[in-house]
Amino acid sequence: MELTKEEELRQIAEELKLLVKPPEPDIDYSKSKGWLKDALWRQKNRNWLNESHIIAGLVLEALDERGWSQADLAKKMGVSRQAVNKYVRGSYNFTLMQKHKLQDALGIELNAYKAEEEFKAEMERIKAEGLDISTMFHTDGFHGFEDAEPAANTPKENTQPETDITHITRSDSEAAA
Amino acid sequence: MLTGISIIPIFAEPTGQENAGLYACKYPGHEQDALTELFYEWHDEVYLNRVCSKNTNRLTLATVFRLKIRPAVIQLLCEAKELESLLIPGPDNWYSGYPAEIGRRFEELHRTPSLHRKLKSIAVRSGKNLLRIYALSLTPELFIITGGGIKLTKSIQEDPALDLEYKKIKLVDRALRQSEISPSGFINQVINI
Repeated sequence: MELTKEEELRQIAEELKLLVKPPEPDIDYSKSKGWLKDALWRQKNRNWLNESHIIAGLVLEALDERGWSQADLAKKMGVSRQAVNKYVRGSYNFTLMQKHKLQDALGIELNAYKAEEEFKAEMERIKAEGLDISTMFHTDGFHGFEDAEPAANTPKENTQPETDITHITRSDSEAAA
Repeated sequence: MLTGISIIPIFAEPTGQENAGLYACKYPGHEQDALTELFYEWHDEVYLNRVCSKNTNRLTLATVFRLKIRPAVIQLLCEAKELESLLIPGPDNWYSGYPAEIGRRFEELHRTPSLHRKLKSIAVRSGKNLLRIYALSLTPELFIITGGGIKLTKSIQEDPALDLEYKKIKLVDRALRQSEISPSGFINQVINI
């Protein structure tokens, strides 16, 4: 029996429920003003955001090494767990007081500049050992859906791409920027 | 609105007359559209740490870093910035040819089955990068982003999360066809299907 258009759309809605993953429970999406505005804001505030990311990374690493939870850190600092949760997201504009409180609680130096330099040095060490950072993951680039099962009713003559496959390289994107 | 999908204009020619632009799906139960959510997640240290921690077996250099996942997180953050820069249209937020330029930055994802319907599946990529945005292309200048993900496996089928993304593209494609929404229906407004 052929489904009506309405029935078909209802079926799609049911299938969609199984495919769409729920939003990340601990991310507050409500602050977004839409992608374009968010993106322009991130671009404009890139310098301090980079620093915030480095600090967040150092804090997360320190928590991991100590086996502490965010709640443990909050208790040590005398702040709420929600406050610590904001610190470790990578988009928090720290005051000097907050940064020093964090340093004291963790007993580490939160120097973004120094951390970046140390990271670069480690990368150089890795390169010197002959390892390529671009091969960090077990992946060798794009494999796409080529192995995906084609639709049963797809005629063979339609299997050629309509346009050439364009591979964007880093230099392409830099040229376009 | 039977499927609960809303198609949100991310960036469209203001009068809508050119049927060109970038749109993104917003799914039931979600506060934001797929593109906004993706970049929110890809700029979130906790989220990236969680993804990398779950995939340490795929991080070949993890041992070099004494099982620290920081390099992987940094790589993903750098990619997110680069990818976002590629999509930002420019200081005037619109210029002639921008959608076509976006189109050149996407690549064909799958040679079949939608070509004969003039719908293409495409992915943004940059060299060996790991972040992917998936979209349907209704014309060379009209794109609907359906979702995306972090590709840590050789093929998408190996990763259940990305396999779901592939199924999602096909489902949105089906919903659009059933709703009989053609490119001329994209007039810089939210479309509920």
